[in-house]
Amino acid sequence: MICILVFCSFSFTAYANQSQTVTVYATVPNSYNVTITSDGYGEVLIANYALIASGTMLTLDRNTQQEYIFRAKSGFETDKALYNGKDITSEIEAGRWVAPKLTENSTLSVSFKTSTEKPSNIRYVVVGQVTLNGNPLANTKLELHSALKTTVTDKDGKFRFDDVEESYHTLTAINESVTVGYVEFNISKSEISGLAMNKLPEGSFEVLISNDFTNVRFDFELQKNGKMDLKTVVPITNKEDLKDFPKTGDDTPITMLIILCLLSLVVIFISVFKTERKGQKDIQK
Amino acid sequence: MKKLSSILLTVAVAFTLSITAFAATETTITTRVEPTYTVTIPVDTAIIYGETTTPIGNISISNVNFETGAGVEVTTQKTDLVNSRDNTKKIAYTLNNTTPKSDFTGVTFTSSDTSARPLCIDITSTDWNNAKAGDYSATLTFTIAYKTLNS
Repeated sequence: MICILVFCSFSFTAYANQSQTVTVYATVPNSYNVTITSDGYGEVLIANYALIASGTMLTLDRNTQQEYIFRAKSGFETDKALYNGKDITSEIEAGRWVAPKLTENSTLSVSFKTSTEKPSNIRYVVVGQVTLNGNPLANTKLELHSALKTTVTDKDGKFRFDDVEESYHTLTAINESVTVGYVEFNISKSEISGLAMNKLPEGSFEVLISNDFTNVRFDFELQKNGKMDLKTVVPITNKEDLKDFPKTGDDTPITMLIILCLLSLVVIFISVFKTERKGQKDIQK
Repeated sequence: MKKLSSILLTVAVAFTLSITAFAATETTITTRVEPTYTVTIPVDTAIIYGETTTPIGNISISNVNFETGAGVEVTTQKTDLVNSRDNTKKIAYTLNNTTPKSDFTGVTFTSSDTSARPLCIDITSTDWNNAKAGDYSATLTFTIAYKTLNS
């Protein structure tokens, strides 16, 4: 008898599914740095910011579209501006440029060159008023560039600049070291009688003044975004009217000089007095 | 007479002797060689803000020894990329095969196909720009199954 024992073992190993997790992370920043540099012959300003020294690193919110103002010093004009290495000079209008949305750390560098504008011998007295929402912008420093002149508006927002040349100018309003307004305008002599003002497409203003006038009034309206609009330009034919616009700021150097002279006189008087008193004591001894 | 009787008896006894012949016995020996494989999946990855494509590594297999007709299937499930402080804020993303670029739905490795699959995570510039600031995270779950494949 043949006994065939067949032992078959079926073993089926059921493999349990295995799982493994992987985590992916991302951080979305809320701000970036913008490093601003200039060559010293001009400045970069930002509305509602303090004056920016070259090499300053600003921290701005992500996606901010920041507007920058390029202001050349007297006798200079903007030559080239680079944003993250890209030349944006042609995009500057009336000294202003709006950056694209901020999505990375960025750099802004600007250089200035000698102005090609020919100097003029014509001079004007420019008075006026600065308002904000129709109200006087009082006690605000005004810087007028081509040849730098500074003044401070009075309680009525009024100001006066003497000896303003026929030239391209920038006017900056500064309140407690913060730039609150900026405008560019060009004063040109006109052969046509009268006075005319044009707003140019890029946002600056052109003022044409005939030979009939040397005293003019410019009234500015400050916008919330830091732009200053030249609202009206009128000639002042009566010099008495200039008295309504007291000079401030320009007199400061003279005032300081007077004060120093007075102090010097006091010191001299006290010294002489002491010397005489000492002499009298010596005689009594 | 006695001799004859003895001889006859001896012959008779000889005929009655029977030798039992035993039939041969068969033994079956069985054994099993277990299939082996090692699957490697990507590791935790940080995505840099603004990057539209971020490689996260490969899904690969090695030390492969499959049964005939079997293979390893790797599938994945992913959660939203969610802001850690506000779970209503999310960033849309896709998990893709890197080359060629296509949506990753899974991979099946066989004895004849053990090539690695590089993966990446894609996020559009628009989604980055619209994302709220903060930290985000998502979980990718890779499930590995050894199975008999359809022929």
